Amino acid sequence: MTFHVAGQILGMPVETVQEILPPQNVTNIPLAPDGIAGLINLRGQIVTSFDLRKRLGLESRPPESGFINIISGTADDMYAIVVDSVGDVISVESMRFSPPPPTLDPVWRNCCLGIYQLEHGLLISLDIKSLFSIQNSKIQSIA
Amino acid sequence: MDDLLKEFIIECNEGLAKLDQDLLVLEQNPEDAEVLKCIFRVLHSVKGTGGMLGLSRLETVAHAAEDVLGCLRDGRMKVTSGAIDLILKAVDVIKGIIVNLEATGREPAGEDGTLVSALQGLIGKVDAVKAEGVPAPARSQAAPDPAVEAGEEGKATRSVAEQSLRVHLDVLDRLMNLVGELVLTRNQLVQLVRGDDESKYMGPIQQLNRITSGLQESVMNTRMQPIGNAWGKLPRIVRDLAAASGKQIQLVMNGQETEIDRQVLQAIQDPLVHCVRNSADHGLEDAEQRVAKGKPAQGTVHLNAFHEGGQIIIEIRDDGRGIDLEKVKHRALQKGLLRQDDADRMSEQKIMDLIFEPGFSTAEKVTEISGRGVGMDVVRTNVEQIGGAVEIQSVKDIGTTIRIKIPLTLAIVSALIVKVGAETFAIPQVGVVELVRICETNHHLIEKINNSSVLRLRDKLIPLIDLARFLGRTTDEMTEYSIVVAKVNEVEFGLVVNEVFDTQEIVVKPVGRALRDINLFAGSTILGDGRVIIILDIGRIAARADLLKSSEQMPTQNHEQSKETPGKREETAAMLLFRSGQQAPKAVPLALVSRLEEFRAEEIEDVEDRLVVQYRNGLLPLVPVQGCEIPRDGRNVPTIIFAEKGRTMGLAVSEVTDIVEASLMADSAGRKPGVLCAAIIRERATELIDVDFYLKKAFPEGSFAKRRETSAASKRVLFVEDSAFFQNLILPALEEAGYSVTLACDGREALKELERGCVPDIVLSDIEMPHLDGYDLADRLRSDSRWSHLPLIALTSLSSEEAQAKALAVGFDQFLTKFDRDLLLSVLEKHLSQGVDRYQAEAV
Repeated sequence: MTFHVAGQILGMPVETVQEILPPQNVTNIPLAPDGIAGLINLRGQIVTSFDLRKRLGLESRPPESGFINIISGTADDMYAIVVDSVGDVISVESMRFSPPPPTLDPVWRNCCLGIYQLEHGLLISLDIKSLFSIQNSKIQSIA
Repeated sequence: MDDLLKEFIIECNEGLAKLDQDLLVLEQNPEDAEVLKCIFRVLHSVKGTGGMLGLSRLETVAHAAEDVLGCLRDGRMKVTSGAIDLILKAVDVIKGIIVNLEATGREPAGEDGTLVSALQGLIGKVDAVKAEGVPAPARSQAAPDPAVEAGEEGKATRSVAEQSLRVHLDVLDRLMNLVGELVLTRNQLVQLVRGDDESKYMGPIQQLNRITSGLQESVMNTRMQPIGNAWGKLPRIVRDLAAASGKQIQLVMNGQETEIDRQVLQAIQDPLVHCVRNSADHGLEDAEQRVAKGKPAQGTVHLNAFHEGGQIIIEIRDDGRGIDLEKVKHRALQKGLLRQDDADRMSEQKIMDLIFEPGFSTAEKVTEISGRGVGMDVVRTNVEQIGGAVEIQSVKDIGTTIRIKIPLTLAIVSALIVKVGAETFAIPQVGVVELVRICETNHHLIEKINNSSVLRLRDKLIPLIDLARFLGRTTDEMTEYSIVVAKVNEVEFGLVVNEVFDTQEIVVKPVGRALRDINLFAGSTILGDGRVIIILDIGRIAARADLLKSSEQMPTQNHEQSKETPGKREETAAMLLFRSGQQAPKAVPLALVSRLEEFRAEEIEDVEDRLVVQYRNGLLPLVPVQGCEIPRDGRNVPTIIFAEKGRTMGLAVSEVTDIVEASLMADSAGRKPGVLCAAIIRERATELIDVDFYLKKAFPEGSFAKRRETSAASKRVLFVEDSAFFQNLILPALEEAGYSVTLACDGREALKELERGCVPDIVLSDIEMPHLDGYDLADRLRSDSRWSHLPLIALTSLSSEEAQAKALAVGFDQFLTKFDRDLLLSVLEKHLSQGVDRYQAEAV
C-alpha cells in the first residue's frame, strides 16, 4: 500500500493496513514527542495517532491541505498514521529492492526498511516499529 | 482440533490444577481420605478418557499412578515422601503431554518406561511382601470400586455442577467491554438530558442509569476471583525449594478466598511467586542455623491476604534471618547506588528500600531460583503499574515481611473532570481530599513566591502545581480557578486547574505503548460526547514536580536536587529564602512563618519612631531585616509575618526568593545579632535568622517572653538533639521559658549525662540521631528503674504515622513534630505537672 508525504512515496505491506479514515478529532497529548499527533476515538477504541511528517523531520503540512489516517495494528495495539494522501496498492515482488543508502538522513534511515525502484521514482518501505521509538526531549526538560 | 479433545484438555487442566496442592496435603496428612479420593478420581478420569481418545502415553502413565493411589487408598501401602515424589513426577509428565496436546493436537513422542516401572515398583514391593495373598483377586476387587464411586460422586458433583457454569474467558472480557461501552453511552445520555428536568426522556434515562450501574457491578463481580488461584503453584514451589536446599520449610496460607479482579490477579502473580521464592531461598536459614538461634528447625512462610480500606493487602512473612542492613548498604555502595556519606546518614527503612533498586541483589551466587538481580525492582514496577505499592519491613533474625497493597479493581473508576487551559483531563477521585475555588474574595489564601505558589488551607501551607504549566502549556494569569487538593503517601499538595466540571464514572483504557515513557498518565477515556481525554496520574505528577521547587527553574534545580538527595537526608525542613539588600541570602523555617504580605510604601506609617502598617484591624509593627532599609519611596515592601503568643509582627525584606526543602548542615559559628547560625542552602552560605531577636525588636517593652510561673524555674530539661541548627533554635526557647537545660548531642551522650548525675525532670529528645537514636534511648530509659518515671517527649521532623506509633510504643509519652514553640512549651508544662504525680505514684 502506498502513500505520500511531502512529495515522497512510501509504502507498507497492505495486510497490515486495517482501514483508511478521513481526518478525525485529535486529542493532544501533553509532553508527547512531536511525532505523536495525539489520540483519536475510533468507534469506542482509543488509538494513538502518529504524524509521519513530524516523525520524519519534515516541515508541517500547510494548513489547508488535507490529510488522511491509515489505521493499522492489532486489536490490542492499534494506531493511526497521518499522511498527506494515499496512493494505489501495488505489488513490489518484481521490483528491485535495495537497503537504505548510508547517505540517507539518519532520521529517515531509522524509519526505512529499504527502497524499491519504481518505474518513476523510488518507494521507501516504512518500518512501522520505528514510529514507536521516538526520543522524547520534552520529558527531559521537566524531569 | 477435535471438540472432544478440547473438552478433555480443559477438564484435565482443571483437575491437574489442584493436583499438586492435593498431593502435598496428602503428604502432610496421610490419613486424609477425602484428598486421596480426589487425587484418585482425577487420575482415574485422565486414564479413562485418555485411553478412549487413543492417547496411549497418557493412559499408561495415568494408569501407573492410579494404581499407586489405589494401593494407598486400600491401605496396602503407606504414604511416603518417595511415593509422593514419584506421583508428582507422573503428574508433571501428564501436564507436559497435555501442553503438547494443546499445541499440536498429538501426544509428544517419548517414552515413560522408567517412570512407569518405578511406579509399578512401589506396588510390586507391596505385593511381593504379601505374596501369599493372591494379588489378582485384590486387583479385581479394586476394579469395581472406582465404578461405584464414580457413580456416587457423579451424583454429588452433578448438583454442584448445576449451580455453576464454565465460561470462556474471552466471553467474559467481551462482556466487560460491552458494559464499558454501555457506561459511556449512558454517560452520554445523562449529559444530554442534564439541565432539562422537564424532558420526557428523563424518566427512562434514570431507569437506564440505575440498571447500568447494577449491570456494571455484577459484571465486575464475574471478574473477581479468589486470590487462592494465584497461590496454586506456591506449595509445590516451596516444597521443591526446600528439597533442593535441604531446608525445612512450611507454607501457611490465609485468606485464599479473598477476591480480586482478574486483571489484578494476573499482574501480581509473578511478583508473589518471586517474593515467596526470596523468602524461601534467602530469608530462611537451614535447620541447623535455626536451631542454633533458638528457633524451630522448620521455617515458615506466611501468606496472608485481606481487604483493608478499599484495597487488598497481601503479606508475605517469613521467620528467617531478616534483612542484613550492612550487607545491603555494602552492596549498594558497591553498585554505585549510594554514596558513602549518605549511607552513614540513612535510616534503616531507607536502606531496606534500596532492595527495590534495579540491578540490586545481595545473593553471592546467583542461584537458579532467585538472585539474578532482576527481582524486587520488577516486583515494585509490576505492582505500581496497577496502582499498588510495596513495603518491606524486617527485623534481624526475626524475619521479614513484604506488604503488597493493591486496588480492588482497575477498569471503571470515579474521576473528576477538570479543565486545564483549553483542554480537558480526568483526575481519579481516589487521593483527592478537597476542592477549593479561588476567586477575588479569597485571593489572600494564595501566597506567591516568584513562580511557585502555596495555598494556605486552615493552618497548613500546601504547595501548588500549576497543571497547565506543568504539562507544557502556556497560560494567562487566572483570576478565578480551582485547586484540587490531593494527598499521596501522606503528602498533601494542590493542583491548579481552571475549572472542575463534575465527577463521572469513566472506563479506563490503557495508555498506548508509545506513551508509556511519559509516565504521567493513568490512561485515557472517552467522554459522553465522544471526546478522548487523558487521565492524569497525580501521584506521578507530584513526584515529578518535586513539590516544593519552582517550575520555571526546574532544570538547574533538579540537577542540584539529584545531587542532594540520593540518600534522602532525614533532618530537612522547609525553609523560606529571602534577601535583604546586597547581603548574604537569609532563611527562616517555613513552620514559623504565619503568612507573606506585600505592603505599598504609602501604607507604612511612622508612629513614635516605629514603623507600622494598618493590617487586619490592628497595627502591625514592621521591622526591617538587618542590613535592609524599609524603602519609603513607593516600592512595595515584601514582608514576612510572624505571630507568637497572640502578637503579630512583620519582617520587611528586599525580596522573598523561594521555598526549599533544605538539609540543615548548620554551622553555629559566629553569632551575629539576629542570626542563629549559617547553613548551606543551595550551595550558598545562608544565614538563618533568629526570629526571637526580631520579635523583641518589634515589641521592645518586653513581657513578650512571658516568664512562666515558678513551676518552670526550677525544672530541668534533658534536651537530646544532634543537629546544631535545632539546638540553636530550641535551646533558647527552653531557657527563656525558665527551664534549666542540659544538652546532649545524641542518645549515648544523654545516657552519659544521666550517669554523671544529671537529674532532669523531663527528657526532650530527637529521634534521628547517630550512635543511639531516640527509640533506643527511650527503650533504655524505660527499662532502667532510675529513669523509667521520667516524662519522655519526642521532638522530631519525622511525621509519618508509623514513626509516631513506634515512638509511643517504645515509651515516649508524646510525639511532637518540629517546630511549634508554643505547643512545645505547653506540652512540657503539662507533662511536668503530671510527671510529679506519676513520680509520686511510682515511688509508692
